[in-house]
Amino acid sequence: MTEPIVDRRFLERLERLTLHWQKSFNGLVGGHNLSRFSGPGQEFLDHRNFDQGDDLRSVNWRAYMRFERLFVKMFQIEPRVPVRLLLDVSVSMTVGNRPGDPTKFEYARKLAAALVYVGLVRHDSILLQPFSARLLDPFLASGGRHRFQAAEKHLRVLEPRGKTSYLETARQFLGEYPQRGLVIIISDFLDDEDCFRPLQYISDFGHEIMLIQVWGEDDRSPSGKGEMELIDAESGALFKIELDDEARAAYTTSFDAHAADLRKLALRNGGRYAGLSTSMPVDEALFGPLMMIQGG
Amino acid sequence: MFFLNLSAGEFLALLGALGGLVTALYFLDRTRRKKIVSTLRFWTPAHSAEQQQSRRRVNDPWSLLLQLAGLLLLLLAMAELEWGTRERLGRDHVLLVDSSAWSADTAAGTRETVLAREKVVAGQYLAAIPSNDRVMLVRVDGLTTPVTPFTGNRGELRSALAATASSFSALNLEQALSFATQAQTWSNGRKGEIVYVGARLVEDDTSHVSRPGNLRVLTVDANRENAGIRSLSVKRGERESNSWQATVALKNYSSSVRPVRLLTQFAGTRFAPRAVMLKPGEQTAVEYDFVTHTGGELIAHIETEDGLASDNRATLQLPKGGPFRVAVFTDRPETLRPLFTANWRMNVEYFSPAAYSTTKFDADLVVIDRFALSTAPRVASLWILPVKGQSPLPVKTLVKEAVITNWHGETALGGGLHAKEARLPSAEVFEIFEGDTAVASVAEGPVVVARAATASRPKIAAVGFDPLSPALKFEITTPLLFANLLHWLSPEAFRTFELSASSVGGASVTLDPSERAERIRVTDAQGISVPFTVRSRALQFFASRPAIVHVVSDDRERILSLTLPDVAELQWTPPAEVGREVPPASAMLPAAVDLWKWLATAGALCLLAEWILFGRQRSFRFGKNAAAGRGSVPPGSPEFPSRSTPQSHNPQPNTPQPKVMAS
Repeated sequence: MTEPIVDRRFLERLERLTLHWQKSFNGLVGGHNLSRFSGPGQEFLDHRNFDQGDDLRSVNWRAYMRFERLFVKMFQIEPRVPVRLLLDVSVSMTVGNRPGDPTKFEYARKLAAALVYVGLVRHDSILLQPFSARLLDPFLASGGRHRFQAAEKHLRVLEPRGKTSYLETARQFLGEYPQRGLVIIISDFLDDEDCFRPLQYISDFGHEIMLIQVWGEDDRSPSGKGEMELIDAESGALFKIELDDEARAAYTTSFDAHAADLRKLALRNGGRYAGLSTSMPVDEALFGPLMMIQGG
Repeated sequence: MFFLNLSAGEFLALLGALGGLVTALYFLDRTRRKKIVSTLRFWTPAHSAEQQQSRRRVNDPWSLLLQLAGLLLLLLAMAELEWGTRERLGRDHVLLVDSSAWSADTAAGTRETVLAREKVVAGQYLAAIPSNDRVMLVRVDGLTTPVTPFTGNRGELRSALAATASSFSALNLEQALSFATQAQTWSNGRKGEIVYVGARLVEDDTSHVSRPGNLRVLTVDANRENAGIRSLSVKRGERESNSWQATVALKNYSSSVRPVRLLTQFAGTRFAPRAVMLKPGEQTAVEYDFVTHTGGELIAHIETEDGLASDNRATLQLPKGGPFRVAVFTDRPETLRPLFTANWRMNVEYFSPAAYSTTKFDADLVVIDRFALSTAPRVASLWILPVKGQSPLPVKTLVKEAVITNWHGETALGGGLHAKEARLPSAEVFEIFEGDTAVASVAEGPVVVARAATASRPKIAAVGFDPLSPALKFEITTPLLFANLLHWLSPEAFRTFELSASSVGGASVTLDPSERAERIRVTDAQGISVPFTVRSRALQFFASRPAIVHVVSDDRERILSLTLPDVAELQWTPPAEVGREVPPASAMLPAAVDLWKWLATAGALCLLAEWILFGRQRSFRFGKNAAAGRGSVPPGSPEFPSRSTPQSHNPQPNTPQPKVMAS
């Protein structure tokens, strides 16, 4: 029997969490955020005078009995914000972890499964969208928690492959999903090209971005010493180096600067950013840094 | 300067190979290792500039030099480098110290024993040889016993020498020299001398003994003014049950006539002393006849002035004698009497059947002739025609006019019984059980049965017919059957004893033609089997130290008290070319200086210095890297604080913002 990506005890702990977003999106969107627009819903919003053509079922007949005037009850709309989870499944997600730690891919997959479950519990619809060089087969998770197994199965069969291309991914994403919504991107953001511009495009298009950067300890603080040949996992490019403390320190500084730039980009566009090391358990990350992060 | 274990060529080849291996490993250690990473975008050109260093370049030349120097020194130590010429190299000597019986004699011209003098001479030899020579000390007598391995420890050798004691056996020179030669071959060292220290007195002719070329003989002459007992033997007299015949053999080993006074005593009773005048080399025997029915110690002692006291006294322990008592309960004693008078060792008393319960008797065997008993005897019993229903062996049936169809000759009890169709007017057929032995059978079953003894029951034999009936009275089978049954019921009555005291070493016993080798047991006083061989009716075994050995066959027991020394009579004359004196210390070359300890120390110091200067630093760095493993962010990073404060991932914790997730 295949071992589940997330165990039952962890899922039970996720029951009390909710996905939130910060923006108000134009049009009918879904989720749990209140909307400024009235419409069909459960929560009462206000009364207005009856106009010809209004639905008689919305007339407040009690008020008519008292005031002998027709008032129509208005209800608060239940928003439907599309939540889309972009999961990086490129080859670079399989390297960079220290022995004993999960790979970035395993870590990101587990994190994605947890987020999908949180959305399903609140009857949100979450689109699982793996990507590497381009968008791969998506999976729409909706209909409550009992649909989680299908989403988990879809996640389980994912295999790391391909080279990351954020530009192509963003171009495809914006073409296929014009409706604005919350975009959660789980990736290491370690492509050889510039990932900032595509992320800016997505944000400029009206999506709210939530960047979850996953890194292995070796990604941030490379181990080893002496002459080494570093091979890019995705491109196969070779880089010869005499690795010493100074070089490692410079590398870590560059890595931290990159992560800081990602965070700035997210905050600048009203989104959020979280950096997670694979050495930190997923449940600890969910109930720790991910609950605490704030947007700009 | 020379290498003990390796030639210069071998040493250089080994050094070159190992040095090359170390250098290759050194460069291999510094070979670039391949590592797959997520991205190369953070490695700056400044880092790549460092990669221009060649992997073939020696970065830490002192590290390599120290490693090579350490290797060189350790190799030299392993090769046991010595300072000096090869002739000064230590040699392996075998020191044979004669501890045979003659070593207890007084040395010629001194009051010391030969062995004490040998120890002095051996000590002088040990002092004369170079300090790095190794010596194996071997004690030689009838056996060759190495006392120490090849060792240069003079203290250990002197202690072993001091603990050496005289034995009772004669020198086996051939075995000693053969062992010494083999020991030098197996030592794999430089062959030294084989040194014999002793009186050179051997038992056998040594003309055929091959003498090694490196032999040195340091003679310590024995006084050899000795007369002693060669053997003491005792056997039962043939005519009377309590008579004994003792024989003492005396020998004069000296070259002059020696008067000897022989004193003999048994169980504290002294016999009349006898004065014997022994000519040079003469051996004579003195006999004693005495009668006793008790056991005791027979001691023969001679009074003479000689240096070897160990052969002046011999002792023998005689077993308890006395006749074998038989009580016969019968109403026809005259008829049975001829059956029991054949063996003079038996003391037979006849009683009427009624006297069984009224008369007090003391017997080793009871014969019950045709009547029933209320209580079974407590000793072995022979039943003749027991009463049915009260027989000790159940009677199955009674038969008339039966014929013995089978004398069970395959058993010891049926041996020699061959009467053809012995007719029985009437007979009782016994029921036999497991452990019972059928001796004779008719068609209906066994009529003569023997039942072995158990812990609660003595031996029982039953004859189911009257062997003295007119039909069987004159059959030759009848006395033979009785003889077999009596022999089985009381083997002690038929066993003959021979006792002798002789010398330690190889012992030989001449067997009778009737004695079969597979039925002979040879044991020592504790009952432990002694290995022996039987060749041409002669049983041979070896005792390296004084012992009492029992040789038991069917009805014969020989007790050999091997307590007398095996005094050799021949003197070995070594070839004229062998060395005969303790070599002067100056004759031995000074020892070469052994350097391996210093070289090993220096090599270890080199490797230790290399590790302190280079290796420890490397391992320390690796350790630090490993320690930094599981934290996501180093504490010093402002952007990514440590995992313990995950909320500080956000640089603006006080800014009011909606949360991504909330409970």
